[in-house]
Amino acid sequence: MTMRHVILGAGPAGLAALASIRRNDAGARITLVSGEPGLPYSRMALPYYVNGDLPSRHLYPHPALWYRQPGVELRWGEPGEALDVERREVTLAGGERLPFDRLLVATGSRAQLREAPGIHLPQVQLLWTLGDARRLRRRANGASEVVIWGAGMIAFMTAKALLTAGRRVHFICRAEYLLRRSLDQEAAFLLEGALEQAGAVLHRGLNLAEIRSGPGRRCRVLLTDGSELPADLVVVALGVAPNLDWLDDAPVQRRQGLLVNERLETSAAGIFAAGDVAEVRDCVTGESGVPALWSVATDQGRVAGLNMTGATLVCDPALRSNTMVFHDYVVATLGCPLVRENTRVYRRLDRERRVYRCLVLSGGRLVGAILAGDVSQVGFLRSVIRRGAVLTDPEGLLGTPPLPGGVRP
Amino acid sequence: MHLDRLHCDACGECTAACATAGRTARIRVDRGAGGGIAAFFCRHCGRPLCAQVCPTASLALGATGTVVARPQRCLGCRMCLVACPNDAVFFDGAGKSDKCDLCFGSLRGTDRQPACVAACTRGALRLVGLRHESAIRRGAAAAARQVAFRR
Repeated sequence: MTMRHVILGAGPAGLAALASIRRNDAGARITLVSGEPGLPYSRMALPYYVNGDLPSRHLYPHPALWYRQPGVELRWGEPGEALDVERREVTLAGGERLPFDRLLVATGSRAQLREAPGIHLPQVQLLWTLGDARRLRRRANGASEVVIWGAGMIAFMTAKALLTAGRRVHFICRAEYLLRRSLDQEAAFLLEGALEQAGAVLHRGLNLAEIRSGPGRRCRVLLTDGSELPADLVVVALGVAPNLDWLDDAPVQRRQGLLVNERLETSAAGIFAAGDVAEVRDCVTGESGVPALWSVATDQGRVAGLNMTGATLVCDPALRSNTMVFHDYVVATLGCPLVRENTRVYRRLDRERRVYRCLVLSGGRLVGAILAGDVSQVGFLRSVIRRGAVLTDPEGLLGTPPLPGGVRP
Repeated sequence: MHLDRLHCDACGECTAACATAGRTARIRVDRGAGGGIAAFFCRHCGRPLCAQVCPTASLALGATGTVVARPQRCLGCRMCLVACPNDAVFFDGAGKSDKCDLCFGSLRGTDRQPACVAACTRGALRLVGLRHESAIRRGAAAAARQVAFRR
């Protein structure tokens, strides 16, 4: 009997799952449901589309033809709305019911809009979907002052898209520095330096109080210290939350995300979860959480897809890693570099060359790293964290030219 | 591509040969602190992690089993760099990914070897397991379609 697979979500996890189901079971029937209209696109690429670096045709990882494989059907524009575990059916927003033998929930996450006076003014928007990106690209034309509410990864990517010659981008940063959840102060200051040189202004330790309309087509952003910023555009970048509301009535166990076993199967048999909706174990801390990272999602999608075809593959626990690139300045983070309990921190800062390397070890094992300005051997360090290998010469990895060596498996 | 570490003496000829034609070298072999050989070059994995994370399919596994880069799609996001355990993805001056293509263009219809392999004084670097190699050497048109993606 041919298996009927339904994949909800056409982000990195959904597309990776589709590819691996096809590879492992060429006869399977697969329905890929994308909640957004149009061909599945790459969310990661949106900032590059906004600033004009990337032509829109390269936003799509696969051409339309790729989805026209035998047995594959692509639906778009209708997100899943209800799940009936007993009858093994998903109801789409349009009312249609899709029966399935195996289901993958890879509905991803969504940017958060927080309530504040004036948040619904036309100058205020998010940068999350292709629609948002198109709107932002249009509006950014002729905008000279942009305010970004937030200082996390989305805020950074938005700034990257909007920091072009002559434009000023203001960050409203509640913490003392940017990317507080990913970077330590030294690395953040180096990255901020690159941003500030290009026209970014950081408003540290402050929050947004209110947005007022006028004068003209502009608006004014009031901060908690009473100061006021004129803005042509306000982008809200306050983080994301998993798309799980539609599963409120379904008997599937969840905390922050859907709870999955090591094969990425949820508490309901035959229903899998991957990407930003899955709550998984962290490779370093062993704690359960939602990493909400692209690289983790692609790997989970691949493993979930294989397991949907009957494999019993164990998914590697999530290894957090992230990169921040601004022009030619590159910062990479690996594992959990901000953990400070029972750890020994090795670091070297070269202000002149703007190079900072920080390795965090726990019991001799590498548990996290922050590399700024010089990311050489980042892939090697990642595999050291993954393998839980003991680093005998962390000092040797701080300098340049860094050479591996002194690694004991 | 395979490096026989017993025969490699980290002389750097491969790096120099790769860096000709005005491109950044895509192979680096150093002597590690412990005396071992630390080699950074693309192994053209069967399941390339760089291609798996690439958000725009700029890196992909080609039909001949080589991992190919299409720099015009590259965002410069460096996720491939983090994913690759061999640190084998390099970046050019414009911030686009630049990686070993096994000198594919110059292999077609010839009996030549990739520049690094040809330059290796110890015979430590070898090209092994290239799919459809004999067809490529003959210059067969179908095998020459390197960018026929299997994903």
